[in-house]
Amino acid sequence: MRFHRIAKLTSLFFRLSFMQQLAYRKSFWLAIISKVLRMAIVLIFFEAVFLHVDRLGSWDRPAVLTLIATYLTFESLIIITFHRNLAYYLPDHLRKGTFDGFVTKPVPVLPHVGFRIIDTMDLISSTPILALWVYLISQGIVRPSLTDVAVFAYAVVLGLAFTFSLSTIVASISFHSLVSTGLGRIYEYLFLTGRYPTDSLGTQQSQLLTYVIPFAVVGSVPAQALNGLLTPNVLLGVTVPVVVFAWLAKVAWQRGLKAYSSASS
Amino acid sequence: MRKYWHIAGVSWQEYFAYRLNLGLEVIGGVLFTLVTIWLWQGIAAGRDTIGGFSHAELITYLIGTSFIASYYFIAAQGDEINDEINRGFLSVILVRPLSPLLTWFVRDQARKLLTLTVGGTGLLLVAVYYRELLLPPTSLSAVVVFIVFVLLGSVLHFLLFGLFAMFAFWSEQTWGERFLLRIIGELAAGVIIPLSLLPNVLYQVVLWLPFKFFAYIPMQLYLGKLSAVTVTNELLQLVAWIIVLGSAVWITWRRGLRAYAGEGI
Repeated sequence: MRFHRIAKLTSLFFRLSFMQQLAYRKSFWLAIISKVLRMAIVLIFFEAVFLHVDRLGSWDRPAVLTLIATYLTFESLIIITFHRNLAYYLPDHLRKGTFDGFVTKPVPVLPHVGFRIIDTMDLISSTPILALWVYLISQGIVRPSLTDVAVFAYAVVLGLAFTFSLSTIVASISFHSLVSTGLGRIYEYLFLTGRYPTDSLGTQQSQLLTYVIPFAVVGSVPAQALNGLLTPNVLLGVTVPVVVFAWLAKVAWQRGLKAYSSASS
Repeated sequence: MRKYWHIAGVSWQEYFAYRLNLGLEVIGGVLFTLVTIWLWQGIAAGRDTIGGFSHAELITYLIGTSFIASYYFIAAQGDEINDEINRGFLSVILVRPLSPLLTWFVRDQARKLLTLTVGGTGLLLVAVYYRELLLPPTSLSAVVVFIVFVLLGSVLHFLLFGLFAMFAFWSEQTWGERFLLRIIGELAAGVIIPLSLLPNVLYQVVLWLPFKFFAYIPMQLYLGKLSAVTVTNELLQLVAWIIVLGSAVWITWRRGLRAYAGEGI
């Protein structure tokens, strides 16, 4: 019954979002073209790089293709679901005083706020990523064993937990500040580092992005898992900061909610 | 003319109202510059040149384009024009003894200067860190021509995004068109990669577009990679683009005013 209700609500949010975005039809389709083009630019960038070098750190061209597919999948997943809801729409609700509508409903606030708007524009523009995965598998570039798939799935969960935690932290700061888009922007810029093979950025930088602020978990780590190159040490090492960020997000969110004094009342 | 200086001053005050947020937005760009430099250092490691660029030339190019990007690309690109037309705020400007086009231009330049100041400060730290790899300009005249290109490029940037924003006279939203421009500009301006490193077919295509004047051509000039004849040709092309786009903006403005209904007030 509960699952049925959630599915019904999700479907309703999806349809509402689609209708809202289709209100400006020309902009909607142009934005989809632009988003597909942006994905193509990531591919073009690396194609251009591989015209001049054979390897990027320890990554050859097929491995980098897997990394790009992984990164783009993550990027799409978080943009379609929670990123904008938390980093941009929540601060807007707080400013306008419409956040009361969330806290008074008999559902947990964070999931409700975080997944309220499903971005249909990004959902449609993500379809080329599926084509990229099909290409990688059909060409034998990605040939994972069952263990690799399991480790990949675990790394994806870690990546989603990490990005959701960061988005929640950014969202929580908006309870204390009038405008907090700057922090969201830093997060987005840092997220972009996920599309680069971390070990091509230098040893210290690679360790920073794997074990301290683990953006490697949205690109390099899952891609290595899929290629069967991920060691248990790295997997364990990357789990620790993700757990820490999840805890920080929980604390930040609870403090944010406590500080909320209802702007509209 | 004094009134336009006043508009520029007021614009600065408005943007400085949320200076921490502005600073954070710009710092995000600076961090991404650092990551891009790390990546290119990884690509260039163990090689004398990449596509005709020495290690020092590449670093200089990346830091230089980041300075230019903080001048052009961080600023909201055409948002203000779009919003003022769609929300009817243009009426307020129309009843004042001001030229709306010049007002928009002054505000755009004020915002660009502000982001350059804030972003440039952060980038100066990056430049100081990489000082041993930074190349000085080849001559004083190269500096003068570089500055002329950057300033004219900023006029071209305003005209290009302003033109697309002015489609708001006939459409409720021009975000899609401007987003498409931004995405093409991400690659075609040469900020993330020198254009000459792109696959040849693509390189030939982007040379026909105006985006090359935003970063690639000024940095080629700075590095002394263009002959005097080429510089003259490029300058003529840049001026031609400004005349063509300026005329298009003027015609669109005249026609748009006839369609303008002060909707939203």
